[in-house]
Amino acid sequence: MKSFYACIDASLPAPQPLQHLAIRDRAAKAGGAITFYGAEEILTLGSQAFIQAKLRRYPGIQGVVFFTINQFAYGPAFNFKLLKTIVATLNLEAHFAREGLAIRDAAALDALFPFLYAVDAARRRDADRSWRALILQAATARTTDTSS
Amino acid sequence: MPTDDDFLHLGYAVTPAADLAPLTRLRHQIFHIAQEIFDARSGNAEEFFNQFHQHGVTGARLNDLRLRLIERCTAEVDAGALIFEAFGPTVRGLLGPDLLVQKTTNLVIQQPHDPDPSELHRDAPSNSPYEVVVWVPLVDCHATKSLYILDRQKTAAAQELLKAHNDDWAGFEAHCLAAGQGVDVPFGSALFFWTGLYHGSRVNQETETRWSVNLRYKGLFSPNGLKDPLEYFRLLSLSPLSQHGLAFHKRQLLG
Repeated sequence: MKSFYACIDASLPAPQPLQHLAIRDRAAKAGGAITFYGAEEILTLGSQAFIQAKLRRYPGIQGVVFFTINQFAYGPAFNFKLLKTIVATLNLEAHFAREGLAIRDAAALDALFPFLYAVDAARRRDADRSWRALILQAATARTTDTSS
Repeated sequence: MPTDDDFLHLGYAVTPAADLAPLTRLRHQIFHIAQEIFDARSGNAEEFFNQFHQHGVTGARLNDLRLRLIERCTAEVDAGALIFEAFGPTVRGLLGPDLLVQKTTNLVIQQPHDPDPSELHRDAPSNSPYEVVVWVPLVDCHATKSLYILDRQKTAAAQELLKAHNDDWAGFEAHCLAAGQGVDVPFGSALFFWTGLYHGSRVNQETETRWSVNLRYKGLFSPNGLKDPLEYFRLLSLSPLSQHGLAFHKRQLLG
């Protein structure tokens, strides 16, 4: 059975217990189990400095399970460099619970690159006009209307 | 393929498959798995699906087995690719060559007189308004065995009604049921519709069960909805030009 390190999303897009459930499920589907877990310090969400250092010195694991691949998109650009380091230099598998994605080696990262890059580029292009923001605006307007 | 006029003015169109063979394969593969899941045998897919209600599977058990069927179909049947093979010119005509397809395939079983038909809803938001829904019946669907849909104008009018009376869902639903247009879709065709249109099912008053699948296609570079493409979609096809462009960025970022 493979051993995985779990890295939850410290920005908490889902409550921590739900993240752990999803990560454990993903680890099991990948033929393994979680042996330990951690989370980025809020100040390093963009650089992912914590997980980078942690994986370099955490022995005996075959991979890391993140809650979401969005954890690589909190900096000014998608952190392809860290993904490549994980799978090509540290020879660890990278799994993503929310998306059900697996990047087991450099070839898998190459294959997934067009999808990841294009989706990230579209998100950054449209960051200021996302549906989420529009819906929040609509809800706010509705509340204002109701109270007036 | 749907005429530009139909899709532009109504927001939906029924179109026959450019190639029927992939649809027949899709139906056969689902038929094969369904016989195992429901522990029922039949001589042919059409009869099995149409007469499914004779097996007496209803309520929570039906839902449980349907979810298992969806899980198996998602793992074993590449519905997104088969439907794209069948309707490729239509999908490319609406969305272009750089395409995403929904990862999982929704499968709906609507038995005669089932009191819980698909509720009135629209997909966008939370789906992107730049996606197209493809609704593919596995049997001939007509009258109440099929869907109803509100075209662009009727959807816009319904939205105005809901904005004016947003505490009256029952009234809104009654309005949409009266305004909705039933769409006849034979096996071998599909209903393509814009994600912003209200649609749903009435109680199936016919004597046959409806089996249908539905999924969504989206342009790779088009604006996203609330549903994260990395979570709900997978890459289906890239134009030669996009392959060059993305390879250029890959060399920059991955070496």
